[in-house]
Amino acid sequence: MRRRPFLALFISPAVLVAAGFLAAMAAILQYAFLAFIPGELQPGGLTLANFREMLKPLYAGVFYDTVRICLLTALLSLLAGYPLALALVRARNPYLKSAILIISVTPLFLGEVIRTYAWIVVLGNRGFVNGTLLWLGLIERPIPLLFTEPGVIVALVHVTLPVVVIMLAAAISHIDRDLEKAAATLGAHPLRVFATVTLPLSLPGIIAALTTGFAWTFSAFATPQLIGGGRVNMVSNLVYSLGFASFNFPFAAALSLAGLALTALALAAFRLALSPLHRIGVR
Amino acid sequence: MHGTEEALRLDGVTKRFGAVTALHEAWLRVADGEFVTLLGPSGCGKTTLLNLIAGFLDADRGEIFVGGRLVTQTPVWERDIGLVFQSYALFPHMDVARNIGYGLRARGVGRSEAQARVAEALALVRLSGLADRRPRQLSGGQQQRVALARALVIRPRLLLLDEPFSALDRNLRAEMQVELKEIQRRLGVTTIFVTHDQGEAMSMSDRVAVMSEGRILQVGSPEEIYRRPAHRFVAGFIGDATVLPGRLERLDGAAAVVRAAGLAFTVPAGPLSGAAPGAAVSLYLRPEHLQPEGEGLAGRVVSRAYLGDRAELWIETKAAGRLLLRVPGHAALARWPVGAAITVGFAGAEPVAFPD
Amino acid sequence: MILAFRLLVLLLLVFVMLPAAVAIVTAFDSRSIIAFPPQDFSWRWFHRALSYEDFRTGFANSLFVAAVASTAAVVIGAMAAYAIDRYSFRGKATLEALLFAPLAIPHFTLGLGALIVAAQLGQARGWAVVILAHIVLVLPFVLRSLYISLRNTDPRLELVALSLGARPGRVILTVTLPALAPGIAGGWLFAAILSFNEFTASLFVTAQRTQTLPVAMYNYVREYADPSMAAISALYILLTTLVLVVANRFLGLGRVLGTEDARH
Repeated sequence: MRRRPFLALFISPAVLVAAGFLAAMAAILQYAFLAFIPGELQPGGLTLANFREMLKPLYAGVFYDTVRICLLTALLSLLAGYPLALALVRARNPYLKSAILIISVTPLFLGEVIRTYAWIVVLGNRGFVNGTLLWLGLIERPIPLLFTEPGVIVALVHVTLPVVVIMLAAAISHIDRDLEKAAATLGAHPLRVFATVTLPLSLPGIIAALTTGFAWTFSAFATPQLIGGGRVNMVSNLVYSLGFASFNFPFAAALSLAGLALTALALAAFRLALSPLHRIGVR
Repeated sequence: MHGTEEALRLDGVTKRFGAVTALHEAWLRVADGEFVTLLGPSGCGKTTLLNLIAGFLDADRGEIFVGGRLVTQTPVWERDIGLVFQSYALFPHMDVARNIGYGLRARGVGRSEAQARVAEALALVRLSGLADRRPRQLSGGQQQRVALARALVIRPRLLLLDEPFSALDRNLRAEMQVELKEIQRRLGVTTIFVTHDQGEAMSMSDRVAVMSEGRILQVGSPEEIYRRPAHRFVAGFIGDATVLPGRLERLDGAAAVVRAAGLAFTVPAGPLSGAAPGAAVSLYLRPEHLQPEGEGLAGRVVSRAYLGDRAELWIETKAAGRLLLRVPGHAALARWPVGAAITVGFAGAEPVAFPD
Repeated sequence: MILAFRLLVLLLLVFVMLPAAVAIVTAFDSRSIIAFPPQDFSWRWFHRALSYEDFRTGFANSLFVAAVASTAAVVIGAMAAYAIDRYSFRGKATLEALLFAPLAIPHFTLGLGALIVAAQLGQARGWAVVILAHIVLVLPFVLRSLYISLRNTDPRLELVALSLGARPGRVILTVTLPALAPGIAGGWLFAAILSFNEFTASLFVTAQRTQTLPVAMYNYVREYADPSMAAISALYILLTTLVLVVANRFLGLGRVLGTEDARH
């Protein structure tokens, strides 16, 4: 029999899908270097004007803000996610395990808009936080939380948390329990066992979670758009307002390209900075 | 070395998992410096017992004393034990020296003293040049020795080993058994060894605790449990046995008379306590104690095997069914071919009987 | 000390559940502004949400797109995953990389690219662009699910079937496909949920008439401030939680996501 029956049939549709993806990416690459003609959909000729435009403080500032927000979000998600992941993996009661898993993972399946909207309700001037504080008499005027960077970051952490928890939990679950038992028999109390055995061995997971958290946050759109309300802008919001509202496809494409390059650079920097630590945790 | 307190004492330790009782009232005393093996088939509760001693499990009832100190409620890291796992459990992110020194660091031992003791431990297990290797760079046997060194360097009151050699091949296993015994004797550390391999248990232990279905059935020297099993499980589990159905004729103080296959056997009365004359019993005989001549049963050879140092003959007898006979050397093969008539003699037998 | 840890975990879980809980509570508030603490109980926002035209068409559109995209993705993915796992061919690594690459690209970038391509082709924003974009986005997840299934099936079973005289086509239908069933089912479910919830790329490629539910919800939030959205959110949350609980019961989410403890 032929060693690869139906090969063409099996891979043609996938090849088409891959081609579609390539076409979209090629379009971005192409348009980034084309000129924008206001009022027209069709772009002009080859130019680097888009990239020059990007260096202006207005736009460069957005890039800087984005990186800062992504870093903060990734770090905070890691700090919040580690205890959850640890509890998830080590819980002995199967109902507790399921509960933690479902609670942690459900936000992932709710969609950006609903999650962001729920945070609007929580952070609004008459929302949950302010409403409760006002009602308790702890404040006299509502604290502005919407349209502020901290508000956006809190919502972004909530969005990134499920992914981080899953990655950490996967890494922690691969740690041999016997190692922790051995450490205990050698006289290490639980905190010491955690610091000297569990944490180092979960380092690959921590690195993966940080890099994924960063990349995930970078692609967030609805959250900064709705909670940032135009005052807190990330690269994604900029691309939308330029590409969609002004139909300035070339500039939007250039921004997207720069965003991709930035993310790739940031990820590489992560790997480089954390790789010496990575070797400690490797089997 | 540690004074007169016992190294380990178990008072009625019981452990249940839901509706299942994994360990029924374990009572045991281990003297300082002893090598005691917990022996039994899988599921007998030996690992549960080890986990209770280590502190990974909490006893439902009973008390545990290590070195005279009550430890039933004491957490694992305060129990002063050293544990060697079947899977070695070496920390992959530390080199050999740091692995071995882990317990010392946890106890706050000073740098220079720790270094000296680690070096000492490495020499003890004959791995002196490998201090800065990683576990993954070592062979199975070497990893096992590092695990041993790590457990011993902290000078524990009790050394616990959970089937440590079952992952090693036969020759390496034999080698490690000898080494472990030597180290144990040299250091005088009280050792509790868990295994399902009776050869291992018999060759290494001062005493063996035979377990089955959550109970310790008998604790005694290897000789005692082989020659004077107190329980039918022990008689059947240790070594080979030929079993004959019989009847208790009478009890005579420390001995009893059992009639089986038309012959009268004198057996220890202990295992038969509580049985009345006329009761059905099972008579256990060791194949190497049966002889191919003398007073006994008549039969015919139906099958033979030559094992190098001995011959095994299967004899079909009218009175007692099929019996196994072990004869050293190879002469037996020539004398009794298949089909030959033969007498199974019981003159040298040390029979034991248990009520049915 | 264990208590402190437990408390911390509890607080974190409360943080995770807070927005959903708050949204659900708000949905029942009778007032037409979003304010805490809530006052009277009312179902009116649920009525409003369920009768709002844009939400209804959005819901129908989302169902349509999700169904088509997931089914297509599963068919395309199953064939491709099988070929990639069992065969070797030129360009295999490239194809695989391209199929998984969308995972690394932000949705707004993909959305923009798709929009530009559609404009270039003069397609404007019809169903094709939306569905194709969704397929590209969910395919990596479908592939992953299928890979797991493939890895768990013994390829020797197919060899046995062939040795017994079955032709390759029959073998695939009667031996391979049944073995892949859990991966296909799980992949389809995952893809459908992801597609149904996808927002950012959809925002770029949908038009007024192809608007999916998330986009409709987004537009609503930007214009109105009443709790209708809260009502929809409440329904969404309850439905999703139900689906996940059931999925966990039958498929074991922990195992699918890889978070189960290695040695119990």
